[in-house]
Amino acid sequence: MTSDRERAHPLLGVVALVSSVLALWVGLTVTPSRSSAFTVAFVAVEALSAAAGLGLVGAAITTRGRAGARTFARVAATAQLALAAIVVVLLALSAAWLRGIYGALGEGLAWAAIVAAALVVEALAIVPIVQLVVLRERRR
Amino acid sequence: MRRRLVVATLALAAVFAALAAVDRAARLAPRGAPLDEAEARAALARLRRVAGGGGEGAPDALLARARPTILYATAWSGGRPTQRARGEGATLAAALDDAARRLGLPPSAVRYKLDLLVGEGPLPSLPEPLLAASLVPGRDGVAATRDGARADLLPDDLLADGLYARALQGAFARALAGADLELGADVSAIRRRLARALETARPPSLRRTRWDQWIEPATPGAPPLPVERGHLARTPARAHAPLVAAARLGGDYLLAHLHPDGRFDYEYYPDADQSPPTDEFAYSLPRHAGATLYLADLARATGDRRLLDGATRALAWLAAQHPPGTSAVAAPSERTLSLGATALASVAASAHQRAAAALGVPVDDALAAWATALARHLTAQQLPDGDFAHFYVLDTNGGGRRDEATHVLYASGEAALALAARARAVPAEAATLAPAVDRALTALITANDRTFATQFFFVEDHWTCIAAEAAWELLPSTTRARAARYCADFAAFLRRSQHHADDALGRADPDLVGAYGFTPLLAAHPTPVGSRTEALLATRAMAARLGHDTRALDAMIDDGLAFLLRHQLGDDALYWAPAPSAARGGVLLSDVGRRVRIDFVQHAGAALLRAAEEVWYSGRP
Repeated sequence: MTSDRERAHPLLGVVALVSSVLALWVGLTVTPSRSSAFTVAFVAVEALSAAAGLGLVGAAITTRGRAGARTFARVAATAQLALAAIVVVLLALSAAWLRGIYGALGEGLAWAAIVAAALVVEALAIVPIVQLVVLRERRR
Repeated sequence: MRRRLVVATLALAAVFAALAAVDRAARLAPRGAPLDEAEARAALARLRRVAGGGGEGAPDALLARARPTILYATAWSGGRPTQRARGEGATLAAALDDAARRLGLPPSAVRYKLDLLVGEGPLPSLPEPLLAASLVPGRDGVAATRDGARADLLPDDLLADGLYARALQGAFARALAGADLELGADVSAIRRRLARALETARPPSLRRTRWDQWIEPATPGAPPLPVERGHLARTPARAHAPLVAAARLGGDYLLAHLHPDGRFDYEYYPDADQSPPTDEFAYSLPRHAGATLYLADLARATGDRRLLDGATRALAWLAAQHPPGTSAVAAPSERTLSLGATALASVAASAHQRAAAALGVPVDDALAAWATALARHLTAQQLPDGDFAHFYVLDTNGGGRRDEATHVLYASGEAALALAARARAVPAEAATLAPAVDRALTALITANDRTFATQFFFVEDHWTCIAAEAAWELLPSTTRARAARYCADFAAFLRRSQHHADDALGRADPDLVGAYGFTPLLAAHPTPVGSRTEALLATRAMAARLGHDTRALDAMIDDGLAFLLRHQLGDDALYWAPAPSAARGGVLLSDVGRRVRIDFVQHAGAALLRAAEEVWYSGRP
């Protein structure tokens, strides 16, 4: 018998897919980074997350490969969460540096960096956390 | 599961319903169509004729069609609204005649202005801070009614009394140091004024109004002028002659505010015809140097000796501003020397040398020696990584030390520009200065790589790009390519915050096209438009040399120039100033911040002059 949580998997897949596409759009057009290394890592992780979302939807439709799709989704969610954590840490370090070096202006920039970190948590961390929670429950 | 889905859908629907309700509560309802130029011309002519006792005359077809109208007719004289009357009627002609009869004969030479109500909506009962942010500065009026009586505060009233926006204060303002932001209308004062007009002690509820505004030109017989946010909404052509004329007007403003001792009126308030005195700490030496630089550049471009003499006088005053034991620029009692003041003084001194050479005028030996000393100080402040120490702290023994830990905005870019300008002014030093300039620019264009956060945005890199273009001949090809790329990225970043004619805000507020910002609730500032346009022109020059496509830059530059031309104060725009000749050529902080500071004029003028020289001068229509 299929549980409520399992029935939620395709919805989770759609949410992951949409949020990754949105994140890619924001990250590449609205707030692009001038760092090639970051851009490559960001695109790779978001592409992985989008593919995992597609996998969850596909597995639900075809009723095949559900276990593999779940594992893939967990890996992608973990990678996305790790990226979000790294970005938040780097933003916090930047805020500290800007505040220390640039005086009053740096204080403003530091606040902007902290607000950006909060937005990163919302945009990049919430969906993978929900994914991991839902998918882990299923595993138990 | 299905139940949760229903709950979620209902919650979403409730959110959308709430948004729709808020939109409906705040939206302005149309109250009439704006006038076109022919209608405005006919309307102002009729107003003048009837108010002057000339009778209503033959019915004018343009004014006779049915359109319920509320309007205000104001007679402006000596920078003040000497007479004002409201007119209402079933046609524009009837409303005009109604207002004109109430106005009566004008006391002296006046310019008539019409404010025609085109939109009105409620100002919802909100907490004061939200209500304060509910007026579009310079554009919205406020109305109140009581027992059938109506009182209006027109945009001109709110602008004149500075009620649209209060300067930010406290920690938030400190965090936005130097941004000169104003936000939030003075709703209490607005309420008091309307209550007084309605002769009631009870604070009236307010309504938001929108007005189509037209004024007679300063020169009789010329076409009527549309007004928006207190400035002319019409944009002059962007061709060589009007750009040079506007640049000259900026130079004339600075000359008019340059005292015999070489000091400028630091700030001028056109609506009060006053320049408040400033002490040695409030008077910014970098801004004095910037204004001097502009006079020198304009003198070189135009060959105008008056401008060169003005620059000489201002430079001589600047050369005297230093503590004992140093030539670096600072208030004489200051013990900490900031790099920016000395750097911009050096740029001004180099520009002055080039202007003097162009006009065949010898440079005073003392000024030349001072310029050399400034360049020496700047090279001594350069650090091994190419960046600069932004401060030098004098000690009591006549010596001093570099402060390498504290950084401020602009200083490194200004110092790089100073060294590049020195190399251009004194070719004999070019070979010696070239490595220092290369290192300085390399440090500038890699500075944002130092932290993760700064790889997503630029702060203010206009001096960097101006310096890179000025140093072009001194730079190796690798640095040229990197600098051009960096400035192209800077331009792309700026483009995202510039208002364009084809975006939603540009369509709603066409007079803001070319400005930088993200909402009409924060008044647009011409000064960043000036400095960024100048940087874009430098970026364009570098891109053109490398054979890159410049069309996107051209569009940004054109929009920026149009905005600057709309915002330069001229006689037509100065109906609200008692002494137009003293304000002519000035540029305000913003439409709602009615003060002219020397650097506002410098940045706008430099962009206009550079555009005339580099883009439109070279054959572009």
